Amino acid sequence: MEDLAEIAIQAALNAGASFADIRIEETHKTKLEISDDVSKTSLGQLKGAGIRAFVDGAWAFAQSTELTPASMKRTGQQVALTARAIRGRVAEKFDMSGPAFQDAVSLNVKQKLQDVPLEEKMSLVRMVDNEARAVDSRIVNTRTTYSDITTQLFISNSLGTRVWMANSLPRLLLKITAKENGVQQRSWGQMFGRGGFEIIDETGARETGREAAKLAIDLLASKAAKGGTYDVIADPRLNAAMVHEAFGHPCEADNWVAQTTVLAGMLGKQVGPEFLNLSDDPTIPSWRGSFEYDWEGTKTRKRRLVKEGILTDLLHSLETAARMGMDPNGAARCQSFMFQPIPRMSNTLMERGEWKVDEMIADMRDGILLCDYNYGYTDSAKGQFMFQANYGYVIERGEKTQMIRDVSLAGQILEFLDKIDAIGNDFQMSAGTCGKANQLVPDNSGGPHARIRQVPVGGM
Amino acid sequence: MEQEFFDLGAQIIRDAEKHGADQVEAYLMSRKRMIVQVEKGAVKTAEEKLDVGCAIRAIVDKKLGFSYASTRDSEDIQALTKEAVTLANVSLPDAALKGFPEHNDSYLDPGGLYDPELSQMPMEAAIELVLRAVDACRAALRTRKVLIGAGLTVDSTLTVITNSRGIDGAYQETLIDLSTDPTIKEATSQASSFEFQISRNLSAIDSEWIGETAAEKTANLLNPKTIQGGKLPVIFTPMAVEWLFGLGFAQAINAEEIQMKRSYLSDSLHQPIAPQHFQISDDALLPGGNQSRPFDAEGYPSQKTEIIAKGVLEHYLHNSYTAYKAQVDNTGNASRTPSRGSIGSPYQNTPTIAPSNLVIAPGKGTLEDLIAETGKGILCRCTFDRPNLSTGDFSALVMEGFLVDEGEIQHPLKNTLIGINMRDFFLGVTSIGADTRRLHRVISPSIVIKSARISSG
Repeated sequence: MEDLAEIAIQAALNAGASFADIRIEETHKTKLEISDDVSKTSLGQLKGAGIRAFVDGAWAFAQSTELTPASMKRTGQQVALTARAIRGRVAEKFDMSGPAFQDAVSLNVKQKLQDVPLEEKMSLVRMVDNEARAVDSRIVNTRTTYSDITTQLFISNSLGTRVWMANSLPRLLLKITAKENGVQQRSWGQMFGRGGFEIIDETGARETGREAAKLAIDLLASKAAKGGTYDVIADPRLNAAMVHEAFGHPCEADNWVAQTTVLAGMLGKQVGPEFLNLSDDPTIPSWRGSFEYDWEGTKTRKRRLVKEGILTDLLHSLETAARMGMDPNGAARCQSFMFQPIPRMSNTLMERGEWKVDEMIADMRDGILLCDYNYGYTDSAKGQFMFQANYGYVIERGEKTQMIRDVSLAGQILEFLDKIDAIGNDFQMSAGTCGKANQLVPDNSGGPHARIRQVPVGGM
Repeated sequence: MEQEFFDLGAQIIRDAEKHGADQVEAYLMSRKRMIVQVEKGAVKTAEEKLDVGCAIRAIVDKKLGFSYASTRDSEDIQALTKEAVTLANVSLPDAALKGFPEHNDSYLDPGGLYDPELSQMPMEAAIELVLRAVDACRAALRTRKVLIGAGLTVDSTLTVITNSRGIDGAYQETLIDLSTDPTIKEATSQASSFEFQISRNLSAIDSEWIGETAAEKTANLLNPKTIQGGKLPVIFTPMAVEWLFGLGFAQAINAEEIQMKRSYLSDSLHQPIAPQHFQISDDALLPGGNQSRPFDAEGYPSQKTEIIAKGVLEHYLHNSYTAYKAQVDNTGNASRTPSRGSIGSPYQNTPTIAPSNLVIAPGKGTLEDLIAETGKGILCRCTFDRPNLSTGDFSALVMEGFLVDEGEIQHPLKNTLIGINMRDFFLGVTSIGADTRRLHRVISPSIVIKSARISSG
């Protein structure tokens, strides 16, 4: 591997690149799904190299699945020549710089995913699916999916970085559909982490399935929310997703150098209340969004994005750090060797506040408690975001009352943070898969309950 | 490479049968992709990628296994073949699994899928094409402070499918997608928008139109306002219809979702669900259609299928498995790219069900006519939301939209949400325009619905 990487980088430099890097990857994926006693199973392997060359602000990228010296040399030359060909058309000339790292990181797991027989994984899926289905006769469909990804990755660049990394990500995901008197509802539950098969423990898996099934049954009695403007309390899962979408993405520094974020010019300035602290931290062991080095081979560290309401840090690749005169902080990620690394989140968190959740609800008097997360998205340039909670409760006179479902809420990033007036003292994480620029990467988001005043909420 | 793929397919079938497979299918793909990205009005990145991969499905005793790899190496594929059979052995037996489709005839060619000029387009020409769109956009916004992004993707793909029941199919296709996305920064407002064209043919791409239209749309979005909420008519332009139908409706008529009872349309076959004048078909044989192909992802021949005719839901979308299970004809909708923006190459996805080209029959009038007829309402040009599959509830942010009053556009919208159940949406269709656009997966004019809940604040 290291020899192949050296051939590609030297070929790119010899052909006129001023910087070159390579990711050589071997990834194995397993997916075992059961729904209504029908299984869907797949095993996948991605193996190859992604090579980049840079000159005078111009980037070129190519991939090869032929891991041979001849292919590495040819691809290295090709990307360098392409970069040279477009160098005269760039908007801004700059140089690539940054620290070099040499390391070989191994991941300590109790039970290696590849050592667990497929039969054992399948047996777990079947058991969880059966038990979730058995919770109530009104459950008309269950879909239980176990998936895992194991990766060996070697990253090398012309600055001298040589890093070996490993990843191991198991996940169990359930989707439940319940039906009664023509009313149909769905729910979901999941287990996740970074490590071995021990993360999907049998007891926890069973409980996850049963809880998801019970939620689907509860949702049968829910009503569609009535649209309007409300005071809202977001539960930890929804709050985490909002932090990720509404604030994490605008802090990705590629939006800054392209000047397509509404946060531009706000570094060092107050963007929210003084009790607001947001961070992105890939260094937490066993969390799904953790990694020791990013996909450019830069050592990672915790990023304090907002400290006491002030925007203090961004998520950087080598390029964005160089262009903005800041230190690289190891936030460049890519889906696989087939893509270029770009600034991405890892484990994105709102830190705990001081409010007890019950007191926050009682203090609000009237509004909506929104729970869990279906999906959401952000337009960083417009500053507009949208989320959909899976379910919620109407709050009347400080009490939880009618259950509601599929509640959408929208906002403007800069207005939204100012509307947060209470943060809970609880905390919960939620696994996700984040999409950006046609690339998906695994991540985590987390936080406490948070209250936001006067939010537009969509309803039927 | 086509013959090499057929040879590998034959090898896969032989090896899998030796390992004990009753039936085998090999899917091989080679895709040459060129990407140009523009940042701040100038080229940022150029990519040229060759993605070659293989996927295998094997059936053993009515149990199905699937494996894939980014390779065409013969030894790697031998290991992959063994994995597919191993996986089949640990899967659950399925009485409804008849097997892979059969077809021993030639395929109908939709025509217009492959443009040799596009396939051989040099990088320099690709860059020129993008920069023409950027220049047109810049010229249209010359009095404003503007940042222009743009992107071009050109694909040239060879697909081969062969199975142990006689399927042997191959076709080549090209696709170009050019977009421009300007951001205008003013002292009191910042706005961004986009415009694009997607086609099988280079000659259909008009860089100047893309750049100028993106500029105009962005300028129109400056200084958005919230509005008084309530029940109002909504005009969905073709781009908004694509998100609503290409993702949401497509999933709701997927026979797998129907059979698993996960769709709100599970009990609606042959029922009237829309006005008589509302018609949708799925046409995989549409000449030059962006999703047209001679056969589906299992090698089953392509066809045109009426989905909603005279307001009645006539067909769900099937692959070979769901068709056999429901004892109906296969509609040839097996797909390895289930939705726009699907991540990963087609060979990395288990075959599922998706529409080809969803065609909504046009009515009468331009968008301006529809706006004038609507009087007071909302114009939704773009939303990134989709309905709840189980309930049909659709709660969506208007990413780009306008207040319409007195038959004219008044101002762009901010923080505005639309809420409606999809059953009410269909029944509430009052007008369909003739302003048809070919988008990624949907070919549609603008659609007007009578009333939806509007929240804004």
